[in-house]
Amino acid sequence: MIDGILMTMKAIIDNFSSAIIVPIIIFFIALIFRVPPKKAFLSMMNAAVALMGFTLLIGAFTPIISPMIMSMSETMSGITGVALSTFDVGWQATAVVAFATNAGMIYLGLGILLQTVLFLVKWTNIFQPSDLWNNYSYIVWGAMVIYATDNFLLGIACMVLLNLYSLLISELIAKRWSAYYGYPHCTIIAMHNVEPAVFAVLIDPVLNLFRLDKVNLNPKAIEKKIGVFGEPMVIGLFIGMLIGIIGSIGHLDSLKTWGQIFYVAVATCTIMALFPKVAGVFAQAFAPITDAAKKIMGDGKGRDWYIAVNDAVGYGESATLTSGLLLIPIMVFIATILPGNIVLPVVDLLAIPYMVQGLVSVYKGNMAKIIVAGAIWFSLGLLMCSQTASLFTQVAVSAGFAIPAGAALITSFNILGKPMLGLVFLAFLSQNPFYIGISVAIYAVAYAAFRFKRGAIEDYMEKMANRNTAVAEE
Amino acid sequence: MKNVKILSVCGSGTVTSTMVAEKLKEHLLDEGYKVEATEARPTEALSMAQAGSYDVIVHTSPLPEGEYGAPIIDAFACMTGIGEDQFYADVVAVLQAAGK
Repeated sequence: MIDGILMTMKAIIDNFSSAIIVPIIIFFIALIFRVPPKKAFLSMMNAAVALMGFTLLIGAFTPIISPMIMSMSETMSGITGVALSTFDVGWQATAVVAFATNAGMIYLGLGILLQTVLFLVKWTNIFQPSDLWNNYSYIVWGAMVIYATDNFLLGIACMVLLNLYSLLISELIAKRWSAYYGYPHCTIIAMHNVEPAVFAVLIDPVLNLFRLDKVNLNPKAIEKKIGVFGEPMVIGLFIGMLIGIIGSIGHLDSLKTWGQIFYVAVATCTIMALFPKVAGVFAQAFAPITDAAKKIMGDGKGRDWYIAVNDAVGYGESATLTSGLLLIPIMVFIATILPGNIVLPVVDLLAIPYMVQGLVSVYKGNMAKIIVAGAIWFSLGLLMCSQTASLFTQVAVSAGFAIPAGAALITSFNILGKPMLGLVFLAFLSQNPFYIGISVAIYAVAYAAFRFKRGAIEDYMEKMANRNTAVAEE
Repeated sequence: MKNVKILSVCGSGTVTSTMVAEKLKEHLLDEGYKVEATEARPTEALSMAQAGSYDVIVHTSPLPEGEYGAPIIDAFACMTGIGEDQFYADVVAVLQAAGK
């Protein structure tokens, strides 16, 4: 009987693409959360259109960019020894890939359940189901574990442990984030954007040794100077031209070459402009479910608790945006000289103002520290992207995204560039019980330490944050 | 049915601004407004606002300083669900005050 059901399910998954199955699952989850059928149906259609939209865009874009990336990679490896054969397709495309995998389909439901229970039994003070969208951050890693090991339970265990880690980190910075950005009882939860906060706390004493706590950069003045160079299409144009010119360095004297260079540049601009639009359609699929999930939360009376909000709310803050934009050229430069790196950050360059939010809240807007700590941690992130690019590309192909054989690899600088939590993934990937055991044990110790020493830890972070004279808060 | 134009701003003009815009469309429909929404990022919000003659600007991410030429309302309540009804009421009040 159960075998029969499993066989049928497998047959369905084998024969229907993710652009069909995922929307149907979203439809049923919406119904379970008592979303009206009409809205549930629209959610389903939005999901289907976005999934298909990404498939079409990536399918069209890869053949254009791939040859240039490969050729640039060859040229660069002759100069700096660093071959950039991997294109950063960004968090939007990665989210869609993630939700289109088996792991994604499962965690859509399991995640909500787990996060709600963890909040209700007071394992955590953070109500996470209000930011359902960012669950893809765990799913990406789980999907890779499942793809590589064929072990479903191992993949699920990996996602659960990552979810626990990110809840703990969120709780660590909740007080600071909430105070700095001025949203009472709110914090960010996206694993890919809270992870750097741990590094921020650890390296802070070192940065103070270099007197960085006394450096005062004015974000507003710098923000004005950056102006149009911070626009996605302009960044796309620059990066596209860069890829094109380096990729055809030997024959820049022919008109045909310049035609190709501009073609690649405009195609890269297009991706920068259109990916967010498609992600917007996908987000609409989640809105009714997120709304329904919030109703579980209750009024949380008598608890010191935080609601997880999407990190979009911090993006435009001056120190956040400005240090994020300043890190764009820094990261592109580092990518070309960092030994062991194969990733050219592109689409996620615009995501840096999300990625720095943990640093911004810990350092209370001290831009010098944000930029130094960010550059170090994100460089390590590039190495983690390089490590996982091949596996992630295979997962994307198996989820139904048409990436031609022999093309450049793909990654997401924001989502997969996680030096610390990527290690948790590597432990699960190794299938070695010892490494997995260590990753669980570290979580257990950190969790216990935070539970028993919460006050002292928060006081310390507050004291360290206030040492910074560069205060962007108004 | 009155037509209104709304500029919705979040971090990347993608996920959150779309959610807010969709919610506004739905709630304002009950009040007799047909909403045409545009999503934007904070860095492009000012130039879009100045070029586009919007009736109201809602935002979940802080906005750069400037003359937006339209009332600005913080849409943060849409993210937590707390004070959400007040937010819709504020938007309607602003529209009515503008004679819409």
